[in-house]
Amino acid sequence: MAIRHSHVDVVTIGAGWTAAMLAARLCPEGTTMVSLEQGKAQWTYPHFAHDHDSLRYSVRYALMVDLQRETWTWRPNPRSPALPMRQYGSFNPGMGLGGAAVHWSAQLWRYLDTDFRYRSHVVERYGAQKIPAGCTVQDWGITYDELEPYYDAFEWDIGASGQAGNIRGRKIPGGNPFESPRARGYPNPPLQVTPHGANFAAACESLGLHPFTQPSGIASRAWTDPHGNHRGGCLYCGFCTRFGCEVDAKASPLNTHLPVALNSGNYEVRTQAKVLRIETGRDGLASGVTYVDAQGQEHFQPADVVVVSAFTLENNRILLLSRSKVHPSGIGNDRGRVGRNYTYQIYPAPVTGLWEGRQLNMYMGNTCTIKIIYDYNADNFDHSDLDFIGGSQLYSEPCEREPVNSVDALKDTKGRAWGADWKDQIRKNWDSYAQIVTEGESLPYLDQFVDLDPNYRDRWGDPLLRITFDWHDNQRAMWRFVARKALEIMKAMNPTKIIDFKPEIPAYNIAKYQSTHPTGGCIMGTSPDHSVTNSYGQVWDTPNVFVTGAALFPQNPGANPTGTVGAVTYRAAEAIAERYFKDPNQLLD
Amino acid sequence: MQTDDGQARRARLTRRRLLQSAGVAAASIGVGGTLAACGENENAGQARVGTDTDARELPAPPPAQQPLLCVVTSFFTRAEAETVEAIAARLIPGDENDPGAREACVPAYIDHKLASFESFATPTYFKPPFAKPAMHPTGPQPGAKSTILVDAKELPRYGFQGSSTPQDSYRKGLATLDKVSKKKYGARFAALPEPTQTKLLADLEDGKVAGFKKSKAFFKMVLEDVYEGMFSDPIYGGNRDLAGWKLVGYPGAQRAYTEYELMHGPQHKRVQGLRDMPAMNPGVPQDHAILPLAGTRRTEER
Repeated sequence: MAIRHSHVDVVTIGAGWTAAMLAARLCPEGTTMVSLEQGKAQWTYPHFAHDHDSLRYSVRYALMVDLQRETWTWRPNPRSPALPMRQYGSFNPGMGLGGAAVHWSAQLWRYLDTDFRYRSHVVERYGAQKIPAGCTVQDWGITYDELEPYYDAFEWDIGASGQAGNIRGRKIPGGNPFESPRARGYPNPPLQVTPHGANFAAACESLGLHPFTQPSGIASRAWTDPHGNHRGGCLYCGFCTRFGCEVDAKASPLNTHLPVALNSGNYEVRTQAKVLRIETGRDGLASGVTYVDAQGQEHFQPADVVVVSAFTLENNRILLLSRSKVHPSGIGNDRGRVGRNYTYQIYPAPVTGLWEGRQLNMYMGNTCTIKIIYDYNADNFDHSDLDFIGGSQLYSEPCEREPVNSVDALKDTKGRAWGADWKDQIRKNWDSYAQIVTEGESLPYLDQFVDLDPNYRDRWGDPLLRITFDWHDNQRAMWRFVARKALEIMKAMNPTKIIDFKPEIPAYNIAKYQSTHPTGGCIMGTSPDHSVTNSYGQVWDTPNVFVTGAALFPQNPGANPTGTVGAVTYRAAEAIAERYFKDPNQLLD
Repeated sequence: MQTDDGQARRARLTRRRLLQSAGVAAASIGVGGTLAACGENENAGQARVGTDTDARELPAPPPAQQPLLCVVTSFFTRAEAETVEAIAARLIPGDENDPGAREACVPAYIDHKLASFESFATPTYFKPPFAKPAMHPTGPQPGAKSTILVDAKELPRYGFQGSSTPQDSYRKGLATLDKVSKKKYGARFAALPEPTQTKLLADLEDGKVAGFKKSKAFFKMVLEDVYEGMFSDPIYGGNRDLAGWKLVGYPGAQRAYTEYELMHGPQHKRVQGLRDMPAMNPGVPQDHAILPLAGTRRTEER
């Protein structure tokens, strides 16, 4: 028999960053809220005080979802069998208080004006025939200008570091000249880069390109945020992605929104609470959620509003598992839209250079101590004579290299990563090689989606989420183009040798890390015929359920999602606070 | 009851292992100088500064005290231990002046790891149906029970799909290795001349050994474990005297680098492991720093 808890205004599935943002906005004004987190509690002190341990965090994934409990299955296309990702892996969803935003890389972006009007923009500039067959790319139903104030607020709340490139239309040297106009700059100056980044930037400039430092959610100096959280500046320690930050330089829910929310007295996080499904009343509205605790005891938490605020993949799964008489295919899925427009990201490195005899200090710093160009991203270059749409960032390989997972990047003359000759290779060159990396767009297609797996189940007996995903011709052509550009830049960087060049994108492989940016599946839009939610993440067919995070993105631009996740959540939180609560259960305009 | 038994067990084992290895750490702190000092030369007024700084070329540290616990006693039988040691010594060869996997206690690391984890050390989903290679394309197969057929050409794209635990894979793999070694070369692996061992390992990696069907997967597992043992923090039993990190010129667990160091190389850094680095808040017991705590509301915790 499930334990029934007392009613709250809002319950969230997961206690990651979007839940914390909502709580920080709503709870101080008197809203009562409970977040159900499947992992344990963790805080900067004591948990990250002593965490410079590659084996524990990078090899054994201490901060990630424990795959013993559940994983995700994958297949390249609907004709193939799906198998579980048994070990990490293509992406690294987080588990524990704060979620993936504790171990993120903190690469912080705003999407471009054209990203939000993707279909309209391509059709206006090139005509509808330019969109590939089977590609379901859409406009977001929200514009960059509408989101700008929320981007701004989010960046200042988290103490972002970077150099603005465009303030109200005025171009600023050293910033990203392709960025859409911002109201003001970043609160903190850009992070330092390493020799590889500096070399990359110089080469790009010599080719007439426009390099700039990665904007970041890592504070480059000591920072006290508008809510009174004190954070240290970055120590460039080299243990960042997959790690928690011991001085709170890297922004996370633990050092930004959670303290504000918890201090309100109206917010509670229940840890080791695994949500099984959203319950639906006879009126078709959500009545609360059912979860199990660490002892396997079932609980019911009633609430007026349910926020689906877990990781992208889990958000899709929860909606699909929340089947009822009123919503037989799951909440949000009355028109079969949940799981559609699942997209990802292109990350592989096309080219690797070797600078014999030079130390590049690649083990210092973090994933943001790098230089980037946007010249070949989005529609920043003319596609009229090209056989693809979209683009990719190119950047100097992220730093914080760890020996345990990088020594096999170098090979002996027979291509082996072991033996006496290889040992000499790593002795001489482990800190002398570096890549140029892509971070490219992923477009949605009809044969690319997530649904429930017919064969595999989680610890609690529920079906795993099945991902059907592979590269398509448009991405292959785009990769071919940017790989060639990367090679040009690499040559201008004067390596003693180019030790690897991939002219064609390697086959998608679920075992190789790409990025933790699966997006879409519960996308926002202007009509229930083409989307699951409105631009506030409010589910069309169940208006007291809101979805947050990158599951809302109709397609994935060539940039990491967190900045936009923050802006979209801020906007939704404001709408819930100022309008939804006044007229509950109604769709917001 | 659905609990995190595996996780709790793992946490307990981790704690136990850390306590055990505390003696080792104390010993290496005592000699302090197992650690190379990077960048000292700049202050000494010498010419080599900036990006030329190279940890490996700096004065050799004083000799380390004999390491403790560099013995294989927990999981492997004596014969298995000899085979693992022979493999490790070929994968990262070395001698006392230029340590390789054997000198860095990598076999002991693997032994500890296998003894500490009944199943996998890294998070692993280990439920059927397990993949079985087919010589042709296959469909979704809903309702598959113990096995699911997958086109052998596509199977590598799905990553690890093994159906046995590392303990079983080592037991079976080491036995098979000795069997094929005896058949082909007339002696068990550990007794072969080094060049023959190297040749046989290359054949394993290429999947070219008759009578050893899963040789590729076995080789990959062992190689990954050797990397872990050579290049992980010494608190886990390998990387003795920080040999792996010194080999590649990695200073190890450092608290911080300055902006100057990012561009110009490490200054005044000694190569060190976690136990040589003070925690950010040394007042908090180490176990708390390393093992997750349960809890709910921050206000109550503080």
